[in-house]
This record gives sequence, structure tokens and C-alpha cells, in this order.
Amino acid sequence: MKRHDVDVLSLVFGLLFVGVSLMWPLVHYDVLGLPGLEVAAPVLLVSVGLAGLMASLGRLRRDR
Amino acid sequence: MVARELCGHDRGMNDAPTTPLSNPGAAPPPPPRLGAELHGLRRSQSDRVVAGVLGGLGRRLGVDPLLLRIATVVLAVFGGIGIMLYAAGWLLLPAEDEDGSVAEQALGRHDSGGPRTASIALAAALALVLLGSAGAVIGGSWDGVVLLVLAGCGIVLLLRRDDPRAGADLEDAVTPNTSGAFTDYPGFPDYPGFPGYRGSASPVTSRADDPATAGAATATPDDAADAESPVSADAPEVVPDAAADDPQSTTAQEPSAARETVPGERWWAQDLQQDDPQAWATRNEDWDPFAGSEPPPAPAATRRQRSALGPLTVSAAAVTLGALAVADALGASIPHVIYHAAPLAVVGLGLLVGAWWGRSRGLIILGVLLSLVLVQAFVTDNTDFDESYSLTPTTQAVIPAGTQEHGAGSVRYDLSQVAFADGDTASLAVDQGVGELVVIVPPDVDVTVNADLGVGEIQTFDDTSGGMGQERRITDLGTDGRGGGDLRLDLDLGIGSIEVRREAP
Repeated sequence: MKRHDVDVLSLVFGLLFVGVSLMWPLVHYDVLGLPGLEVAAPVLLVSVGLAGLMASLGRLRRDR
Repeated sequence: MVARELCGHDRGMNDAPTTPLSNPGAAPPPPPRLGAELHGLRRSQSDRVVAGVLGGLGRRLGVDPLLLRIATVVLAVFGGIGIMLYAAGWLLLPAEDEDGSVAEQALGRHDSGGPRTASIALAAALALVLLGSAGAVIGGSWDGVVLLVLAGCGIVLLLRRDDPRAGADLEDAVTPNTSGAFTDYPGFPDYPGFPGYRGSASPVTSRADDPATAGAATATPDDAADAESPVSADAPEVVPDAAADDPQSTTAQEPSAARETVPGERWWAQDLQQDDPQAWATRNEDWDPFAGSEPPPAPAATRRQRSALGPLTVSAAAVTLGALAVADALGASIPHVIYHAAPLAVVGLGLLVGAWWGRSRGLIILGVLLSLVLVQAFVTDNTDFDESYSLTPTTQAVIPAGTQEHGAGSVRYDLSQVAFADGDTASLAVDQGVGELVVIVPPDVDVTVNADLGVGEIQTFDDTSGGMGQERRITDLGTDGRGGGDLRLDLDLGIGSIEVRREAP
């Protein structure tokens, strides 16, 4: 498989799914707890969004 | 704007059965018999938010995609039907620039089915989704619905593989342009790897969104005739006729010269392509994520590349599940949630790989479905909807301090037996996810209610209202007016009903 420019959609959803799949077991084993989830979910979304933003900006810069 | 898009479409439909222009000797494609309206339904690559399902549908139906998007979001919020419908559309509708849907590619059927089978498969899948969603609303179970929908999609696709038309399509040297309605996409001819994709035929048709050519979309009678009559040796005459019908068409202005210089090519497409190279390049860049960086690969390589990562990931997820099951059988205790989280993690990793190598966007659908199942599994694992919690304190000291957390269920705080004197203050804070929350207060105490409700009904004393995003801040003095102590209630509920009432005196 040839390496291509970053596909932001795949990146964002990949990070999101990995984050969600890590989060639920943590809640299950009471590492996070429900209050922890209230913090962890926004943190996850913000980090995923920032990653997507940075990837998009990087692409824009390379395209120029 | 909608009308213009629709016009572009009609033009596309008009073109659909006339492809053998460039190869008049090829066997004519079978005519579309049913679902002429649906044939050529494609995911739009230009007008898209997620995967272009609604953009393509709106274009085909002549409806502003924004309306469809709003409807889908509303349906997604209430019961999740919108998500399922969208996922089904993503799975079963090919993109404009592809000859097979995501699901077909995953199943390894690269030749495109006829438009008739595409529309039938789509209709059947949508019917299944609707039935499943209805079942979800009635039964309240997500697991079953997801499985039902997946099973339905699989059956439809497998049936399509056995369709006799598949063989006929394969024999044609020239693809019978089943994607005719959208081959007129602006960025189309420059798409890497696309030339040659349809054999020797020029992939270029016309530009749907060019205002000049939009006028060329002519009368519906033409379309109807084209769609219903078998395409035969007279097909090459159809396009020149259609163009000649319309004086506005740019193609009508210099047709013969172009036809002579490019024999066998589509003369009108040629001069259209040349009219604005800058716009072509820009559009192309906008919608094709890899246009700038990827050298045009061989068509076969593109397909292999696309199908490699998806099946690889799905297989890895299956192996992971199997390994978990084996570990479970050997004595390790593996909770229910892990069974859902592990494949989701594998799918997520597959997508991350696909961000740089290969393509795996189809995995997003799988990931969304797995996420839904995971959330559902988590909720059923951790909460019991039949469980009810009830607390009846008898003194102010027993009223729990701090915010009381409840997941789901029926929760009841009966404070009616707590004695309040003038000047006493107490407070109760409850944070509940789903269910029924009842607080009963003594008859005389002055009550300040500070309630937040996501969706549902809220009743404080004599005041009832329902809906979404409810906030209520009230003070009720009780039967004796001011006096008799103060009680503050902070109630926060996601979905359900909140009721605050006084003990009947």
C-alpha cells in the first residue's frame, strides 16, 4: 500500500473509535467512573478535533 | 439552484443509455426497466458533509439537501433511525466516481450491477432499516436491530451477486455506464486512475453544474424515451439530437469541428473540458483528497488497495473477538463490554492506518455501528431499568449531602416526614441519567426548585410541561406562605420525568 497524503476523515474517526473503545473499559473497571466520563468524553472530542484541525491545516500548507 | 442541479441530472439521465458512442460495435447495455427514477442514485462527491448520501439524494430528487440533512438529524436524535438510514445509504450507494458501493467492494464484486438491481437493493435495505427501527422503538433493543439490519444488507448484496445481469456487464468491453447520471461530474476526468477505468471509453461526459450546459437539459419526454426504450444501434443519434434541441447549449455552437478532430470521442465533452481548465483543477483539488499527491495508479491497483485494508481490518477484528472468546473459555473472565470495545478498537486502528496508507473510509460505518452497540451494551451492563431507588429520611440530618448520582431507573426521595422549623435550611441535589425522579416535600416548607431536564416531562407542584431542554427555577411557599423552613432542590435529569410535589396534607 502506497503512502498517501493524510486522509483527515479516516484519521478523525479512527482516533474517535480508538478513544471510545478505550474509554468504556476504563469506566467499566471504575478507573474513570461516570463523573470521570463527563470529563473524559469532552477531552476526547477536543483532542480528536484538534488532531483533525492540525492534519487539515498541514494538508493545506503542503498543498500551497 | 435546486432546479439547476435537477437539470444537470436530467442531462445525466439523458446520457445514461447512450454511452456506446465511443464504441458503437459494443453490445448495447440492457435497458433499465424499473426504477428509472432511482437508477444512477449516487453519493455526491461535491455536495457532501459526511459521505454525500444526502447530497446525491437531494440532487436526484430535486430537493435541497439541507432539508434532508435536517430530517436525518432529527431522525437520528429521536430513535437513531436517521443514523441507520444514512449508514445504509453509505453502504449501498456507490460514489459518483466509483462503479460499486462500499459494500459491494467489500464483498468483492467489482462490476457494477444494473441500475435496476441497485435501486431494488436500496429499496429492500431501506425497508429493512425502517422495519428494524420500528422494532427498536417498540422493543427498545439496539443489539437486535443492528444485527437485523446488517443481516438484511448482507442478504441483499449476496442476492445481487447472483443477479444474471452481472455476467452480462462483465462481458461488455465498455461499461454500460450505469453511473451515467453522475459521470458528468466536474472533477471526473482528472481523477487519478480514472482514465482507463471504463475501458477504452472516454470517461468524460458533460458538466452538470455548468450554467451553459445546464440549459441543455432538455425535455423530460426525451429522458423518458431514453430510459424506457432499449438502446440499440440508433443510440449514437440520441445525443446530437438532444443537443440540437437546445439552442443554449454550448455544444451546439461548434459541434462538427470537435467531432471531426476527435473521432470516436465525445465532441461535446471535449470542448466542455477545455472551457475552463482552472476551475476544473480547483474543483478537483477540493473533492479528491489524494489528487495532488498520488500518482495515477492503475485502476486494478486502486481497487486492490481499497479493498485490502478494509477486509484486513475486519478480519483482524474477527481474530480479536475469537481470541477473546478462547480466553473466556479457558477461564479468563472477560466482561461483556470488552467484547464490543475490542473490535471497535481494531476498526479504529484500521482507520488510523487508512489515514496514511490505503483507503478504509468504509470502516467508519462499521465503527459507528459498533459504537452504538457498545453504548447499548454498557448501559444494559451497568444499569437495571427495573431497579428503583427510594429514600425516606425522617430528619434533616439524614438528607444526603452532596450530589446524588443515579444512572437509570425510578428514583424517589420522600422528604415529607422531615420536620422543618422556621429558619431551617436544607438542600438536596440529584443527578440522574434516565428514568423517573420523584421528590416529595413536606406541606409547609418553602421550596426552591432548580431543575434541568434534557428530554421529557417536568412537573413541579401544579405546573406541568414537556419537551426538550427544559429548565425550571421556581419557589413555592406551600400552604402557609413564607415560613416553615427552606428547602433547596437541585435536580438534573437527562431523559425522563421529574416530579416535585407536596405530601397531601
